[in-house]
Amino acid sequence: MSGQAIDPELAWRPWEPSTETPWDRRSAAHLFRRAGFGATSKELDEALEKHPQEVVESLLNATESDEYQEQSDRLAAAAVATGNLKQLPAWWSYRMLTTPAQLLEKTTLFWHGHFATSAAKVEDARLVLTQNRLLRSHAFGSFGKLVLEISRDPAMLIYLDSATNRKLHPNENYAREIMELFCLGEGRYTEQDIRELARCFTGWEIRREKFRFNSYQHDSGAKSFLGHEGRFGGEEAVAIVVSNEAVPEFIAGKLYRFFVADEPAPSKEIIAPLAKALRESELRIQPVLKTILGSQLFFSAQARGRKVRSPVELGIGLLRCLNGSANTFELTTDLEEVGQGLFFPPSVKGWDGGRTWINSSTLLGRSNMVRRLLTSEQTRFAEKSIVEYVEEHRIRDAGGALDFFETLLFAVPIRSSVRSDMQQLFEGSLSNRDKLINALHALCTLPEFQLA
Amino acid sequence: MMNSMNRRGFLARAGLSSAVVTLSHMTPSFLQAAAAERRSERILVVLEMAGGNDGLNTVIPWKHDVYRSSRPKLAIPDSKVLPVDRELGFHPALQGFADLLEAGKLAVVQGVGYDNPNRSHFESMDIWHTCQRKEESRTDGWLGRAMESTGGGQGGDPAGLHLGGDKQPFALMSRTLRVPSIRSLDQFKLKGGTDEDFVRRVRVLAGEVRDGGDDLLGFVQQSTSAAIDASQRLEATGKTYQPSLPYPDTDLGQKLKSVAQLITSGLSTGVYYVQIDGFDTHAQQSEAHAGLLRQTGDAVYAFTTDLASHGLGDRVLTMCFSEFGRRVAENASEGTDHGTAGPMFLAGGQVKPGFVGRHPDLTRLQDGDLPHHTDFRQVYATVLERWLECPSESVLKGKFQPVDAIVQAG
Amino acid sequence: MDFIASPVLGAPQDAGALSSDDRTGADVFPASSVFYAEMTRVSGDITTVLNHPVAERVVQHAGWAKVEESQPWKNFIAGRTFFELQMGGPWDKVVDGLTAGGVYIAYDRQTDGLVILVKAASPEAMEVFRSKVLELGRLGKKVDPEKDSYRDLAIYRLDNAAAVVSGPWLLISNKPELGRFVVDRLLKVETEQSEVLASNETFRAAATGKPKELSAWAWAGLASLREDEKFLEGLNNKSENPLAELLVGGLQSNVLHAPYVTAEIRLPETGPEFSVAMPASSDWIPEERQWYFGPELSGAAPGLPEAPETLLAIGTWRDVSEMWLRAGDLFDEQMNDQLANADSTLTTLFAGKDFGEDILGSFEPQMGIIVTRQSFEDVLPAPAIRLPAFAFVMELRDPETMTRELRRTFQNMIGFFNVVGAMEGRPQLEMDIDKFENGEMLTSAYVPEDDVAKSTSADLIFNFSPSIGFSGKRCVIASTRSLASALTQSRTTTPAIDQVNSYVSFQVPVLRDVLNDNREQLISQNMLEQGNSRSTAEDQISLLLEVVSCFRDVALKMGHSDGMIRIDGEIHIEQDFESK
Repeated sequence: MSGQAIDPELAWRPWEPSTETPWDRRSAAHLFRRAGFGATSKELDEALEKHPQEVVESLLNATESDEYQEQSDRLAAAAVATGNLKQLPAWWSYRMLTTPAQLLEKTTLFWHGHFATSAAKVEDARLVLTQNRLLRSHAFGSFGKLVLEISRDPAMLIYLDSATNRKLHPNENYAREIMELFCLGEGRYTEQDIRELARCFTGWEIRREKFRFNSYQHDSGAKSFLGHEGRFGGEEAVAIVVSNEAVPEFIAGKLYRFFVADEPAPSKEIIAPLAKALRESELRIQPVLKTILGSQLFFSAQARGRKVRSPVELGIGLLRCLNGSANTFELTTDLEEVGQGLFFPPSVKGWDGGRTWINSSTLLGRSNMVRRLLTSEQTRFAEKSIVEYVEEHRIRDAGGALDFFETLLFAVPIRSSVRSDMQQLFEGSLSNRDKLINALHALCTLPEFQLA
Repeated sequence: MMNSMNRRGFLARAGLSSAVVTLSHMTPSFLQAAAAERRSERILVVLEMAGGNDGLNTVIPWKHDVYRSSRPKLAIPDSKVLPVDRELGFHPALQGFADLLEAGKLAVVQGVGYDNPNRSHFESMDIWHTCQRKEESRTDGWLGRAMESTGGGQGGDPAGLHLGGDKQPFALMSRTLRVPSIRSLDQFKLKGGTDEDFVRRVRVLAGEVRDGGDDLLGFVQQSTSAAIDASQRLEATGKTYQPSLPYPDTDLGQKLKSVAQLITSGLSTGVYYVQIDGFDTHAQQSEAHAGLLRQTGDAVYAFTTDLASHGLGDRVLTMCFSEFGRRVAENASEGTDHGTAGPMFLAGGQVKPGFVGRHPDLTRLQDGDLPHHTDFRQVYATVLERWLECPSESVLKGKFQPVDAIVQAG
Repeated sequence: MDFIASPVLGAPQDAGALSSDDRTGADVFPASSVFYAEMTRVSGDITTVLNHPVAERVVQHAGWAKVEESQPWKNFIAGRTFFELQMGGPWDKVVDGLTAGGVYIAYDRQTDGLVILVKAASPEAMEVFRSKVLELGRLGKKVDPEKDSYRDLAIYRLDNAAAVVSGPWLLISNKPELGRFVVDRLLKVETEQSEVLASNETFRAAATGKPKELSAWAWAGLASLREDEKFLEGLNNKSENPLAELLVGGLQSNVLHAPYVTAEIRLPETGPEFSVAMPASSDWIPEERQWYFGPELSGAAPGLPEAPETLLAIGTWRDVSEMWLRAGDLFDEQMNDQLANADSTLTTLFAGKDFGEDILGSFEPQMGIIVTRQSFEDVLPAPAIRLPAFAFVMELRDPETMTRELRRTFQNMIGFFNVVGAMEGRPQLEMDIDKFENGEMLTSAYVPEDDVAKSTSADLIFNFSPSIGFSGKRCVIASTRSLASALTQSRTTTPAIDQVNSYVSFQVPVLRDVLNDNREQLISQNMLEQGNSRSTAEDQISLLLEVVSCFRDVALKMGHSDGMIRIDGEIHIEQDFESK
C-alpha cells in the first residue's frame, strides 16, 4: 500500500496489459479520467481497439480543428466584451466540455492551479483570458519558457502586487513566489536570495495592461543569488531560477500529485526518474506526461482511485462521460460553491486538492450539484434527455444500468454490500425520468464517486 | 493564574487536534466524536460594518462641547441620546445595544485603531483583515491563521463559515484551510426532491462503512456520513427551531438567524462571518446612519438574546468592527468623511459588560481625527486568547496585550 | 365535492327549452362572484391566430424544428391527437363547435370557488364530448352513477374539480356548493338563494355599454374584494419597491375606492388590443399620492422631441421630487433605510446638493424617457456589445438659474467619475461644450487608449458619452452625446395627447436591429446558457429575430376621462411581409 513498495526502476516503464490488469473499459476510463475529464462509452470502445500506448499518444497529440478554435475564440471574445468576470469561467467550462484535446485542457488547468491568479484581484477579463491562453499555448512545452512568459504576464503581476517595481523599493512578492511556489519549493532558497532576485525584476511594470521594461527604474548593480553573481536583468534571473537543480524534482512532484495520486507522497526515488527525464528534455512537459500516463505505476493499484476528484473533475467529468451539455453559468457557480471557482483560486498557492476538497459543506454541495445538473432543463445528454440516452445505449435492466454507469463513472468499485440496494434504485427507472435521476443522484453521492 | 489556564486550555485543544489526526487512521467514527467534542466549544461571530462607521455618532460623548460644536447639524440632541452614564450614550437607533448593555451582555471597546492610519476603504479593511500593511506579503487573514492553529475543518464541519454571496473576506483566507461561503441554509441540505424516503436511502447507502479506514475511501466515507448527519441535524432543527424572539426582517437579521440555526443544530464550526455594508456616509448622513445602526443593533440584540434562551449564550461571542471611524467635524453635505479611531463591540453571555477604555479625547484631536489608544489587534488578542484559547502572537504577527472585556474561564 | 348532499328544493323544468336560451355566465353565476370573464369568439380567435401569416412564418423557420423536438411540445401533440381521435374531427373544428356559445369563468368569494362554463353550438355537440372524452377518456375517472350525480346529471371527477354536462352546457367547478348553484340556475330550479351576478348593481353598471365584437371581457368587483382583509391589507401596505410605486402607486389608491374594474381584449387582424378601465375620482387619491396623477387627476404627459431610430418613448406626468420627499409615508421602514442610504450617496455624487429637493425638485413633473438604437456607423471606437442610448427629457421650473446650477453639477459629476475611474483603471472622460442657436450642450466622451481608438470591439463603456443639453425650458440628460444633441435641438415634438397621464411607445423593428447588432453576443450567451452547439444557437437566435420581426410596435397609454381611468394597449403586427 505504501510508496516504498514500488520499485522506482519498474514504476515508469511502459505498461503492458496483463491478465491481472487487462486493458479493459475500467483501465481506459481511468486513463481518460486522469488525462482529461472522462470518456464517453463510445470513446472507451474505440480506445479498446488500440494499444494503451497508442491511446496515450493520441491524447497527447489531439488537436483542436481551426473551426473549433475560431468558435472558441469568438465565444471568448463575447465573454470578455461583457466585462463580467463570471462569463469567463462559463467559457472555460464550455471548452472543457467540448474540446477534442482533453489532455491539453487538463494540463492547462494544472498550470492554472500552479500559477494561481485570481480574477477577483485582477478584475480585467481581457488580462485573465490572455493568461489562460498563455498557459494553454505553453502547457506541453518548455517549463522555462512558460516561467519567463508568466513572469511578464500582466494578470500575474497585478495579482502579486508587482505591477510597479521600483529601484528604491524592490517588490519581493514575485521573487518569493517564483522560488517558493512556482519553481523550487520551500527551503531551497534564502531570504537573501529573495532580496537579490527582487532587484533583478526592478523596472518590470505593467502599463496600460501591457508589460513594459522601465530602464530608469531598473537596478543595474551586481546581484548574487542561488550561487550566481552578476548584473542580472529579469530574463537572466528567470533563467537562473529555472536552471536550478531543484526545479525538475519540484515540477515532477507536482505532476505526480496532479496526474497520479494524492497520497501517499511519492518517495524521492520514485520522483527521481521523472526529474531526470525532465532535465534531459530541457524541461519540456509533453515527454514527461507521456512517461507518466503510459507507465506501469499509472495503471497500477497505486494510482487507481488514489485521488479525490476536484469539483471540476466531478462536474465536468460527469457530463463529459455522459456526452452531456449544460448551462455553464450554473455549472461554474456550483463549482465555485464547492471550492473550485475557475479563474478564482483561493490563494496564490492554488488549490491544495486531495483531502482538502472534502468537508461537510462541500460534500453536500457536490451531491446537490449532481442533482441540479441532472434535473436542469438545459442539461442534455448527446442532445437528448437522460431517458433517451439510456435507451440509446441499450441498457435493458437495473443491473445493466448499474454496471454501465459504474464502469463509466467510477474509479473504484462500489462496495458489494450496497450494490443490491443501489440496483434496486435503478429498478423501473429506465423509462421514468424522475426515478432515473434519483438513482443517478444516489449513485453519485456514494463515497466511491468522490474518488478519481 | 489566568495565563496558565489559557495555556492548559490551548494544550488540551492542541492535544485534541493532533489526536484527531492520528485517530483518523483508526476510528471510523472519529468525526462524530470530534464533532461532539467541539459542540461544547466556543464560537466567534464576526460582524463587519463596511464603509467606515461614524463611531462618534454611535457611542456619543453627548455632554461634550467639542462634540456639539463639531457637529452643528449631525449632533444627536441630548433628549434623543440613549444615555449610559453622565458622559456617554448610544445613538437613539441603537436601542438593541442599549438593551444588551443593560442585560450585561455588551462590552464597548473605545478608541480602537492603529498607527499611521490609512483612509482608503480597501487598504484599511485589508489591514484589519490581515494585520499586515500593504508593504508586507499578505496571503492570508487573521481568522484563517487562527483556524489553522485551532485545527479542524478537514473532512468534518468547516472550521469557519461566511454567510453571504459577496466576495469572501480576506480575514478568512488561509493557506491550508478553505472556508465556504453560503448564500442560504439550503446549501447545507441534501436535496432529494420531495422524496424523503429517497434521502433516507441515500444516507444509508453513502454511510455504509467501507473497508480500510485509513485510505482515501475510508476518509471520504466517514466525511460523507458526517455531512449527511449535519444535513439531517440542520433539517431537524429547521423544523423544530423556534427563535425566542422575532429576528428583524433585514438582510443582517436573517443572516444572524441562519447562524443561530447552524449553531443550535450542533455544527462544530467555530467561526462565522457576516457583513453589513453602507456605512460610508459622506452626505445626508443622519437618516442613513440611523438606519444602519438600527439594523445592526436590532439584529445583534435578537441574535444574542435568542442564543441565550437556547442555552448557548455563554458559548457564542459576537464581535463588531468597522475599518475606520469618521472625522470629528461634519462636512458641508451633512455627512462625514473618512477618519480613524472608532469603537468595537463585543456581545455575548461571557463579556465583561460596560465600556473598556475611555472615549478618545476630543480636546486632543490629531489633525482633526480622534486619537486611538487601543490597537485593534489588542481586541483580536483578547478574542483569541481569552475566548478561542488560541495563542495570538503568530496569528497577529506580533505580541499584543489583551483588553479586559471577557470573563475568564475557571 | 358531493353534489347530492344538497336538499332538492324543486324539480328541473323542461330541458328542451334550454337549447334555445341565450343566457350568459352572468345569468347563472352567483351574485357573490367577485371576478367574471367571458370569451364569446373563441373559435374565431383561434382561426385568426393560427392562420395568421406570423404563425405561418414561425412554423416554417428552421429553428422551429427544435421546438417540435422538445418534450412539452410532444406532450401537447399527443394530447391533441387523443382529443381528435375521440371527437372524430380536426381539433380546431371541434373546439369551434364546443365553444360556439361562449366560455365563462367566475370566482365566487363566498365559496372561494372557481367555475368554468362552456356553451356548445348544440346539445349534440356537447353530448359527443361528454360521451367520448369525459366518459371514456382520461379526463374523468370512472363514474359511479348511483353516487356521482346531481339532479340526474352525472358528475365527472377531475383532479381538483368536477364536471357536469347539461344540454349544450359544460360546467366545471372546484367547489360543490358553487357547482350546484350554477346547475340549479341552468335548470331553472327555484332555490332559497338564487340571486345571480347579472342582477348585481355594480356588475350591471360595468356591463352596460360593453362593446360588441370583443374577444374577451372581464370584470372584478372591487367593492366585494375589499371585504377580504388580506386584499385590503395588500393595498394599504406601504410599498417596498420604489419602481412599483412609480408605476402603479396612484392606481393602488384608486383601487381602494373604485367599485369595479373591467378589462376587454380585442383581436383584430392588425394585432391584439386590450383596455382596462375603472371609475376614478380625485377625492380617492390621498395627499401623499398627489404626485402620481396630479391635481384633479389632470396631470398630462408631454409631447416629446423626436430622435432617429427611437426604440422606446415614455411620456408621463409624475412629480418624482414630491414622491422622494414623501418617502416616509409611502415606503416601509426597510425601504426608507435604503432610500436614506441612497440619498446620502446621491447627495455626495451631486456635490452636496440635496437629491430630492434640489435636483429632482428643479424639474417639472412632465417628463419623458427616450431610448434609441446606436448604429456606430461613423463612430470609433465601437463597442463589441452595442447598447441602446437613453435619455431623460425634462422641463426646468426655472431655466435661468437651474441651467447654471445643473451645468456645474454635471461638471462636478464628470470630475467625480474621472477620479473614481482613474482609481479603477477606467478611461477618462473628456468634456466639451457645444453652443447652438437656442441652447447649449455639455458633453463628455471616454478617451480611448491608442490601441483601442479604431477598435470595433471595444469595452462596454464606449456605449456611453454622458451629456446634458439645455434649450429654453427643455433639459436633456442622455447617455450619449448624439442622442443629447438630437433631442436638445429637435424642433419637432410628438403631439401631447389630452387626458393621457402616461404613454409608452415601443418600436419593434428597432428592437430587431438592436438584437441584430448584438447577434454574435446573443449566440454566445445562448451557447453558454443552454450548452448548445454553435449551429443550434444560431438557429435559435435567428428564430428569435424572425419572431421579433413579425411585430411592428406596441403602444400603451393610461389616462383619465369621463370619471374613468383607462389603460389601453395595442400590439401591432407587421402586415406587409413581402416588402421586408
